[in-house]
Amino acid sequence: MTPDLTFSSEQLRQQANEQMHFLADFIPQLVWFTDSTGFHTYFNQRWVDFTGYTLADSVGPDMWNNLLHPDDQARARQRWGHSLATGEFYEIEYRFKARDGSYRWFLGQAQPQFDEQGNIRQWFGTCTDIQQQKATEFVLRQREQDLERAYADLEVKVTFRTLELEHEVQDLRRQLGQ
Amino acid sequence: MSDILFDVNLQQMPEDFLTGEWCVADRVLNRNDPDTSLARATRFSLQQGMLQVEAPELHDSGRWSVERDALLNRPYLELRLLQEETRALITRLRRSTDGLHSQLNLYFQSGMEIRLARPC
Repeated sequence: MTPDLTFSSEQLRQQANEQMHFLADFIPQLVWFTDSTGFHTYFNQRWVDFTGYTLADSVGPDMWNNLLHPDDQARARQRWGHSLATGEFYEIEYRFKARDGSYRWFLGQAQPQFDEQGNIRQWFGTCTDIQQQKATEFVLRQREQDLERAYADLEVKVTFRTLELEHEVQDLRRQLGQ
Repeated sequence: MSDILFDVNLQQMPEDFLTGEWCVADRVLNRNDPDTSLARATRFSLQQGMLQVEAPELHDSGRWSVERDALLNRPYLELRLLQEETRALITRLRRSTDGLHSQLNLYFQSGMEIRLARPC
């Protein structure tokens, strides 16, 4: 007997879904999907492992209010609202609270998928951990400020050590000017 | 948090930000004579016009004042000790909001740099 190698559309859809979930759990980002209005429809396992929040938790404002750093909440709300309203690519850097209470920087990005009529069908989003990059940026900025300070200090230190001489030069200039 | 330090604007610094007990937290001698009381100091006491310098087996005292010069954008200290007279430019003063923690960076005419801290 020859086995039936044809798949029903339901089986194909299920297989594609399994493959998508396998891929989404494999990549190093937190992955999320929403419907066209911004309601979450999917989180990958990394999201749940890092944040501690499941899809059921994402209903209502509590998850985002607890997850986002207080200083990033208004900016994130404004930018996500803008993307939802316009369909523009969503991109933001913000801090998420981990299950242990510490914060990490993420690059959040989301792209809408449109239907045949040009309406948004759903959003595909990822959050990439950029904590190390932010830490390096902070150290470099600090070093730059230290160098600027050292340079400013150097100028005033030279003036300080030659203060008497500077005053004599000023006196001489005044006398010459008279 | 009280131990986060903020830079004080040195051009508007009240002089009483300097009074009190200070410990030497760091020092770079450069060409300074290493045997002077200031070079060996471990503790400074700045009270109203009076200065006391403590170093191992050494004690010096005298007067101090805050001076300003039009050519400098920062104040400096005029130090008149029994063993030494010198000036020290204030390069940085940092304080906690409650004033309990401070760091004071001084640059002496000899090139010596000292970072004072309190509480000791």
